[in-house]
Amino acid sequence: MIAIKIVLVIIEHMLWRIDTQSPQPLHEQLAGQIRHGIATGELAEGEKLPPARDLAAGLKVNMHTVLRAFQTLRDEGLLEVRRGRGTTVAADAKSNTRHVELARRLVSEARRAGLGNREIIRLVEVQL
Amino acid sequence: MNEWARRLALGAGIPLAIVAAGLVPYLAFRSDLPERVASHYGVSGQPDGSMTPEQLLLVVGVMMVLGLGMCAVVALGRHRFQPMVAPAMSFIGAFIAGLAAGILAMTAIGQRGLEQWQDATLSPWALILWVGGSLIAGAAAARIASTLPSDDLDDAGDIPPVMDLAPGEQVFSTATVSARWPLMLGLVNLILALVVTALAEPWIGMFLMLAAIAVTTFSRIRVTADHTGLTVRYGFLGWPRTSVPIHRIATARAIEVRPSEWGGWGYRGNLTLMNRAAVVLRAGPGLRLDLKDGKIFAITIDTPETPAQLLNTETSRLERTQGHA
Repeated sequence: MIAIKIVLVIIEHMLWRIDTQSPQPLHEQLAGQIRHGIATGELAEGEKLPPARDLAAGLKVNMHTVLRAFQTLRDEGLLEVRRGRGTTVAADAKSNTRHVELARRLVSEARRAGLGNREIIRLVEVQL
Repeated sequence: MNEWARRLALGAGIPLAIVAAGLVPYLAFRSDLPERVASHYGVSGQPDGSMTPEQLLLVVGVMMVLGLGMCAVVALGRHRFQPMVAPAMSFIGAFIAGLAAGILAMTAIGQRGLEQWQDATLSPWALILWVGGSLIAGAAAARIASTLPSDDLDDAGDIPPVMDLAPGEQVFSTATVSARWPLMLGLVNLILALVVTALAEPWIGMFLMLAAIAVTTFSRIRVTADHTGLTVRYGFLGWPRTSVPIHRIATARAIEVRPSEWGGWGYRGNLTLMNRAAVVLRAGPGLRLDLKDGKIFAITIDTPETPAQLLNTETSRLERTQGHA
């Protein structure tokens, strides 16, 4: 017998959390949370994020803070920001989070070793 | 009013008022009515069916007895009902009885002094008054029924512990519930509406089309919880919405929702009329809010522990700031 299962109800949920007294800037905290959510699968690829206005009101932060976080993540290829259609998690976001994380590690280790911006870019270019 | 006065109002007061609203004009104008009275009207408002006044009284009487019987069962019944059953039954009962009484009153007042039933006309104002009055009668009955003692819900749930939050920490919980069944139901409704519009009366088709749109508002629901309270946004537009402000919430907890306990699927009940309301899309985990005035709101979502914790945390935060002030 073939069992056909129709998914009738789909539920996505997420807890957003920021600390206004932390030294880390609010937009970085927010971006970090979204990155973490994507990496753990809590935010699925293609999922729609809450509107920036709602998120700002809920977390008692300025809307520009939220938009700035969204923009950073769009530049990292994790989010797709489309006018009028809201912000969604990019289709290949999950694999991108890994590359972004590796790049971040590369930059911070290279800095610690005393390399400048140009040298770090050269390092990557050589590998291309 | 104590409980027995309320039971008397629901079981006798409202019924007497409804019966009087129909019977008084009927008895007063009985001798002025034509031999047969118009009892059915076509789409254009032309009468196309008739009865003798006695037949009309019989039909209307049966409707009234049925409707008022439902109110009486709630008012005089010794056993307790499930929470939302008594108000819903009372609403339907009083509404049906009100419609019946309205038919009698409209016929008696509108058709007195006519030569024959074909001359009868319908005033749109009378129709508005008819439906509006019946809705008010139903709402009044539901309001009274909601104050009668009822069975407790089987699953009260535990109140989860508050979150460990730093003073400057802000939390915001979002959940999106996408259900397929309202879309399917809406589609079936839409097809039905088109068929009815093409084959039969267009106004019934229009009505079905509105129903199709209404049912799809349940296909996507966004639930957010934060320092302002709980907000539920329906449909793809996020409108309409239901909000429960934080200052009204006493406790929040995670429960198992059984649709039968909440009166079925969809938006059930009404906080004003029935003291309870629930957004039920499926059986399973849900969030239950007990309000400070004893009313209860519930919604089906996954991991309700998170918003429950969040709301309890924000409630205690609010109390602390109010305590300092």
